Amino acid sequence: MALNVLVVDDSRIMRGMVKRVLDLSGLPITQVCEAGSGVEALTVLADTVINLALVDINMPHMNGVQLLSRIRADERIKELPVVVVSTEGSEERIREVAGLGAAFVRKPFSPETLVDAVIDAIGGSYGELDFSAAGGGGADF
Amino acid sequence: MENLTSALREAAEQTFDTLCFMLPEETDERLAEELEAAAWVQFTGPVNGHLALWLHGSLQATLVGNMLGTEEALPAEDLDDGLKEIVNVICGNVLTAILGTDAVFDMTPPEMIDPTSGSMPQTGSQQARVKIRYPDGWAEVAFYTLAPAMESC
Repeated sequence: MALNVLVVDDSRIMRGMVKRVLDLSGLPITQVCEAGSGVEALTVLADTVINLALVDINMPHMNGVQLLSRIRADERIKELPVVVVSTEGSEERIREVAGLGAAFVRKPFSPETLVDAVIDAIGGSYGELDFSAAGGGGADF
Repeated sequence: MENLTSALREAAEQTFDTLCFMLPEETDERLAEELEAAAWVQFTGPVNGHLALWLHGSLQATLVGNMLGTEEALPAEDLDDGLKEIVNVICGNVLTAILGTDAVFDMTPPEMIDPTSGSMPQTGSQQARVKIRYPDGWAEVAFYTLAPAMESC
């Protein structure tokens, strides 16, 4: 089974960086969609089947925690695996994210760290995927 | 103050290394003075203030290009977007390093600083400043508070 991934970050460069890591990861990714805010992300989620979201916290209009709350409250997408990718270092915010069922990766991240978090996040939902070519030092970044 | 300076240096070097694959260079060569670009970000929380980053020489295209893994010329808008993301990451990491993981901060969206003056629209009390040399120029990072000087650092 292949993945449609949504990358949500108000920085176009950071979205491009995350997308590049995913492209090089060896993960079976079909499509990477992008959104610059929580509001844009909800529009994408309404129109497209997404299997994994990588979400920044500090964004204008609707931040990552608000977006995550909206996702968990929506019957259609409440089980969506989410990895929060942020500069946040506070335990309180990280607990809040974990309480909403999301993994957390701190910026700056190494490609290996991000890929490992993605594999952990989707592993339960997509156990049939073959990750033998992905993760850790397996991919050429 | 010494702790803050080393935390600032460590956060900046780690960000340049991990995000931009750039390692600092030891050299006695004279630093280029020309300001290329600068950005700053404000924060509020247990301490209020801002962090600024100035690039001198010709670093910006390399830093941002490395983030995307490209040597192609990027539009100015993307170069500025990348610099703002770098300053955002440095700020988040230095705040956690100096005030711990119990502190909760909010950061405003980073903004570019007018390169003709190099000065920010807001003043503050400078707590630490570091210069880091790279092959194509150098980066200068400074941490300011709006409250009285930080006793804990």
